Amino acid sequence: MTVQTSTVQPSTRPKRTRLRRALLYFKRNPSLGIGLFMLIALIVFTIVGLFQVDPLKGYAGAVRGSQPPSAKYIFGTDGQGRDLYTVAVLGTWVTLEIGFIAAAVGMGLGVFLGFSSAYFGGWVDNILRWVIDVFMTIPGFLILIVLAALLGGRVSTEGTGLIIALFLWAGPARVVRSQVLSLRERQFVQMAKLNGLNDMRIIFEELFPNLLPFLGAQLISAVMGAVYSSAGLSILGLGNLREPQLGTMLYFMTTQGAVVRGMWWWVAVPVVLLCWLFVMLYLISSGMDELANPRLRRRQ
Amino acid sequence: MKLKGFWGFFGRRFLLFILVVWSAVTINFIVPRLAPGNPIRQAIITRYGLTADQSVVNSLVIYYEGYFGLNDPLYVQYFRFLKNTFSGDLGFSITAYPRYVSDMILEKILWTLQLVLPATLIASVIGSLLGAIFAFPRIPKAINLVVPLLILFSAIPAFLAAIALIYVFAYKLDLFPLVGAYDPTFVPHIIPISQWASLPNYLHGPTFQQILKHSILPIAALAVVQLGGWALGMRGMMVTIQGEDYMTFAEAKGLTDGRMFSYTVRNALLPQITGFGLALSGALMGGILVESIFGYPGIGGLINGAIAAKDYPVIYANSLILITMLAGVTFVLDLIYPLIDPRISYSEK
Amino acid sequence: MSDRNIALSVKNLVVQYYTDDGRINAVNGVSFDLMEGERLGLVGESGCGKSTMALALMRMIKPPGKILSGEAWIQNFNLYELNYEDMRMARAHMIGMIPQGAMNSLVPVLRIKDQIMDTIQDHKLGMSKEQMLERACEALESVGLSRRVANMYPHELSGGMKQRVCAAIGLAMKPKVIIADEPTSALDVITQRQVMETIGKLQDQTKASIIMITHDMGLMAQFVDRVAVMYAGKLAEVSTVKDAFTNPLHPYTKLLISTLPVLSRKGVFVSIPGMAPSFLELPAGCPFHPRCPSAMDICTEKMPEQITTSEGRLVSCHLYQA
Ligand SMILES: Nc1ncnc2c1ncn2[C@@H]1O[C@H](COP(=O)(O)OP(=O)(O)OP(=O)(O)O)[C@@H](O)[C@H]1O
Ligand SMILES: [Mg+2]
Repeated sequence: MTVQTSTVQPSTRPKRTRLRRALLYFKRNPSLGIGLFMLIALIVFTIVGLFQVDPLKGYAGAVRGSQPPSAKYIFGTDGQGRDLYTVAVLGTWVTLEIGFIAAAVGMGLGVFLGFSSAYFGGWVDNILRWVIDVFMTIPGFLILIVLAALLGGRVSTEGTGLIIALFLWAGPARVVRSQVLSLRERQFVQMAKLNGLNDMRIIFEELFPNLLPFLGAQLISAVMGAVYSSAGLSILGLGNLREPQLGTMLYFMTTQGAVVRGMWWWVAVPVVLLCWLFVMLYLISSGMDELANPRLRRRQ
Repeated sequence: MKLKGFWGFFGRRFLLFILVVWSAVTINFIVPRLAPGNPIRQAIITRYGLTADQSVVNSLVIYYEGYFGLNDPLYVQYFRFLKNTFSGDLGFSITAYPRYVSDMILEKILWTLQLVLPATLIASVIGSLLGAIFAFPRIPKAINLVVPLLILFSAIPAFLAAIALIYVFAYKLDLFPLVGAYDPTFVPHIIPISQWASLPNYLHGPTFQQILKHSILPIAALAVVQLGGWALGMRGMMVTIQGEDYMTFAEAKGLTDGRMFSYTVRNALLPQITGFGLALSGALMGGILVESIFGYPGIGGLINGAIAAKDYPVIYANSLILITMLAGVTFVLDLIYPLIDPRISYSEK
Repeated sequence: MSDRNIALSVKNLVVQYYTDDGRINAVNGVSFDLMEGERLGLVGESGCGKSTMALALMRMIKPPGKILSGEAWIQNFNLYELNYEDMRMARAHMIGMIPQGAMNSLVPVLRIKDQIMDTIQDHKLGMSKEQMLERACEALESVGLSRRVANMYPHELSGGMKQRVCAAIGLAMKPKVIIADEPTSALDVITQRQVMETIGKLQDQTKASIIMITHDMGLMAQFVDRVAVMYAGKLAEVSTVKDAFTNPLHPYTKLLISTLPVLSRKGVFVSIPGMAPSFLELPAGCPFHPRCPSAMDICTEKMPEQITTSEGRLVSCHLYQA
């Protein structure tokens, strides 16, 4: 290290426009930037696709099977006669839909239970804490398999989402509980309490703005978990096998030997799209995590 | 002094373990009762049809009606279920009658562990090593280019990695077999462990070779997706440690970079152990799916087959045993961690 | 005082942090001399840059901070011109640190003896393992701890013992200059006093100089020879303890002294009017002028130079400019 003996520069505070600040922020938090970019790309792909595809071609037997990509079928067709471009455009969102249903229900439940636990305290809190601990220790996927196996092929997209939600609430509940408890100790809440205001209302009003990025991150990672579960169930043949979902594609692709038949496009479409989804969700979630509690400022 | 509060800690953890197992059992008791009809009887009839040997069907139906005691009041059924489960009686398989479910699982679980454990061990060692290297002082910044790759790996589920690996290494390059645990024509050496179950003889050279050859791709799929998590976790922990007061003081003591690095690694490595339970659980879930993609004869293959055949007892029992196993691992890790890490004591919290 | 030799001479030290909202000069042109065997106290409001200065003197400022300019001479070395390896050797050997260590300054996974012996080993004194162990035990005994402590882990020690261990480690290499950043702030009053006495005794034995950062003016008055008063990254005044307490020059020092509790004004809390300054919005001219009771027109325009009075006191204030 050498030290310049230059004259002392006065501290400056450059003015920055909002856009530049946002761009600068993405530079420091590239996960969020890239994740959102992937999301926008997916939306554009879907919108463009919606003008071009006929939803019916996403079902088995709608077109000629086992066709490699061509001008007519740009992503090719699978062994059962689905147009893979149609599946890509529609199925990606069906897959995400399950994820969002599960995550939203799970989060709602989690926020409610976490808040109740902290609010009521006492034995309610004690019991809920144990329940949360138990649910966090049980690998939900194993129970999901049992549930789905019993319900057989009778589960709809929404139903799958709801079942998955049963195992997504514990994490958010634990976070919300500890956040409420710590907010409660903060000065402004204590002050408000002294002033005779209802502390829980304050916490509620303070909590959610404060927790929003955090809950956002949790929500997205819950979506990720749900997409994983639903794809996993599909692979085991426990998903909804009629609808053109990505997981369903995986199931047929593996059970019908797409690999050994050399039908690379059939392999590639669901795998690439699912990878896209997982990476996108992962990046957005960890980007929002960073937004919620920034690490110490890094270099410059 | 170290053991202060041990029994309280032990008690709480053990209670959690018991509660987890009990919840799993209870869920397994409730769920079939919520499903419409009598799924067991249904499954038995579907499996054997009306044409099959009716004596088998009848004995199964009678056995299971006894086992579940479907005509007794619910609480009687429930306690009988608990008693049976905790005494280790998980019932007969429907499709492989008269094999015991527990025998089938015992036989398969070794295959699964043989994928999951090496994968987790390899990933944790290599990943932690990578993570530590990232935090080495004055490392060339170029190494940071590896980070996006690791992030990519840690976001992708093992079953997708498995498909990609099969396509490239088994189909395109033809370096590894596509499916199974042995070549189709190979007759493995096996050691019977009971009338209905047997294990491969690892000491028999050709058998071992076959197993190894067929295990490499699934292990790779399970390991590669964990690698990023371990590496990023270790790097994060290294950075946290580097910001601790004691590292500032260590630097003020005039220690060498190498010594500072070893201090950081020692402090960062121990908390990684706590990640082991979670990683194992993730790898096991991933393993179930990877096995069904590779047609591998472990727990995943068993579950897959049981699902196709609607062999519910096998599915329940698998879920129950895996949950118990994982909860047990978590319990043991929780218990021994404070012994390993002088920073943590039992009396905390 | 000037008949003694200079142990450390700091010239025009500037340390800058890059933050989201701009750059701040947390240490902004600090110059002073520290005499051999002297005890210098450094006081100032929270956030005025004391710890930053301490780290800068160890050359341990980390990004986003940077030492922009300055010199720090010990004997005839400028610390900022040493190469990386020499600077490392200089730490603990020439300039040592006693951290605010009660809670978290000892490596939790290593025994105390290893933490001391590593320091000795990395300074290449060519000692055998037994000699190093002996030296480590001596260091512990010198701070009034038993040799048994050597085999313990930090979590087995009380706060006061930890702080003694930190002192033992910081002084084990007998540095010429010791920097102690609030070394006793986490301890109870009795333990505080004992630890300070220990540090003072060791310092006397090794004839080291010490820069002591603290918020405790009482401790300061008893322990140090001179007081340096810091305000917004600059030294407002450096005077002997007696002068600073009985005849402060800088208006900020005056206010600081007047806020000390006095028994005759029991029950009255006095504080300095106005807000502690934000580095991002420092006023033009003297940074203290918005809160200064004797502010003049020139104070809003021009930063006062640091001058040395005839008694050898340093002060930066327009009241005393020639
Ligand atoms: N790593 C950092 N990054 C950015 N700014 C920093 C950093 N460390 C310190 N600062 C800023 O530099 C200024 C001086 O901080 P410093 O820690 O030196 O104060 P201090 O006088 O030691 O305060 P205290 O008495 O509370 O210990 C503060 O305004 C602080 O916000
Ligand atoms: Mg400080």
